[in-house]
Amino acid sequence: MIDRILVRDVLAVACFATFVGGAAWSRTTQTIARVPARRRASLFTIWLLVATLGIGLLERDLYPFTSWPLISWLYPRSYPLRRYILVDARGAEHDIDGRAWEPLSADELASWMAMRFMGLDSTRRDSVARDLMRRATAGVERARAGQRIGTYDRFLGPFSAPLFHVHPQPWNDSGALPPLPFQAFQLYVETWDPDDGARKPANVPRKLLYEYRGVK
Amino acid sequence: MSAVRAAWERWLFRDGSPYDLAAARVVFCVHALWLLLSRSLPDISDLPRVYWQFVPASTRWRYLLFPGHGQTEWAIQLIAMSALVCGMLGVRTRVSLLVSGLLLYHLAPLETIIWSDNAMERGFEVTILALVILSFAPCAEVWAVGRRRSSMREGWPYHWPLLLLQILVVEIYFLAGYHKLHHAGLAWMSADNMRRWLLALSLWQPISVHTALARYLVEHPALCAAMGVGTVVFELTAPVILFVRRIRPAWLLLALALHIGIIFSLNIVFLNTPQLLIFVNWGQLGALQRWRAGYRVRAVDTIALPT
Repeated sequence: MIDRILVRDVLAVACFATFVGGAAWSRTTQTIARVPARRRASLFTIWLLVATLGIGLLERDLYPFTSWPLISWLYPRSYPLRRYILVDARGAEHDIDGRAWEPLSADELASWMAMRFMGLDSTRRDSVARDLMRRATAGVERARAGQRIGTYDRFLGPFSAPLFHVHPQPWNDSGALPPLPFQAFQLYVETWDPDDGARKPANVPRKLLYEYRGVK
Repeated sequence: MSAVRAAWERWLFRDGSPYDLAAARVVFCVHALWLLLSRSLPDISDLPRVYWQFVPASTRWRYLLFPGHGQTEWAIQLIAMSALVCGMLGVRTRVSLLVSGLLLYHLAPLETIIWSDNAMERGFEVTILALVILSFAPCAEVWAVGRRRSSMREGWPYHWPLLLLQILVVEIYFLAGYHKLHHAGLAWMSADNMRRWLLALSLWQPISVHTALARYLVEHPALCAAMGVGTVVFELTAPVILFVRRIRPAWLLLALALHIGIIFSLNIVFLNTPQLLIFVNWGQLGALQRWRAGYRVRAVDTIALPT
């Protein structure tokens, strides 16, 4: 049986290597060549157009050649979204400031949680939950101490590049910091209906998928 | 057939300005530095192994990314950033741009590697390709440290590589428009679909930051429909700017307005936006500089430069 992922990865490397080789072959600064410079430039342009448009139109992503299907589907009437929260000693639920997860970005962690987390065995799930609780706790402590919560803004501060999605930064307000310690990590699937969500955001239907209770 | 070929050659081999190509070099290097300094990509390597569990072995080898090598990755990032600084300054561009492009091919996937091999929408896709193209182009003729020339040249070797970069950027828009119609058909542009996207991306709490514009738009179905139609038309017609240069200023303003609107209505930041600067006519700035320095201009067909 052919390993499709292996084939994809080999193709991707071959495509990128061909691209680098083609760029070198067609360079305009080359003085000695059997093929005239314009001909080389033409051929490389055709290759690049075929490769990028072919990969793009067929949606066969071979990074860095990508297909760019940006929000290209119909938003459904309802959509299941994963949401993870931490619970404090009083049982209150808290959304976590995404900067606490860094170096994991909030976007990537959300995708990993949605696509991979439930595929782990229970021991590994618990280890992830412990790790996330530890990161969230450290984030709260840093925020209380007036330090940077995450790592992304350590060089450029407010001029750092944002993430693809804009995320709230609730912990900029010291009054919004959750009390420590956290008692539990919970993963919910929320059935998000945009219309209902707009009318009554607190009442989005949700189902508990996973819970980890840390400190008893 | 010869007419097609002639048109193709006119399109590819028109005279270009060394300033436009040098500006592209600076834009891509600064953009890549900005992203690298705004992330902690090497630290992904040191995440607990459980996060790496689903990364296929072939994908690890494809990018030469393996868990537990954070320090090595930091060293690689330092080399990449040094190369980008050299590229930005126009120092040893053949080597510095090629090295930075290849190292970014290694580093950029770290951002998504734990769940996807495809780091799309993270800002480095076009940059990796652009740096490789620029490394083999005469992009450090001007605006380069230590480069003093008594005469200035124009010619297709300055235009053609820039055109390749512009094609890569324009394809983002064109493909985004194509996929909307391919996946959803004309219904993608409907007021109802736009309304749901606006509500979903502005009001779902984990990404709900800017809400006022979305709330206003969803109350006006005609505006929602105009937004849908306008977006698809704008995206599908983007390739026109590769052929009709005089509309570029207006197109750039529209694109900027579109991306700002997307930030405030959908809470999405298109990180490639600064790359639109490669469509600016930097040659006009260069012309002013040339005029002040009394440079002569001559056309060239091929260039042999010590890059």
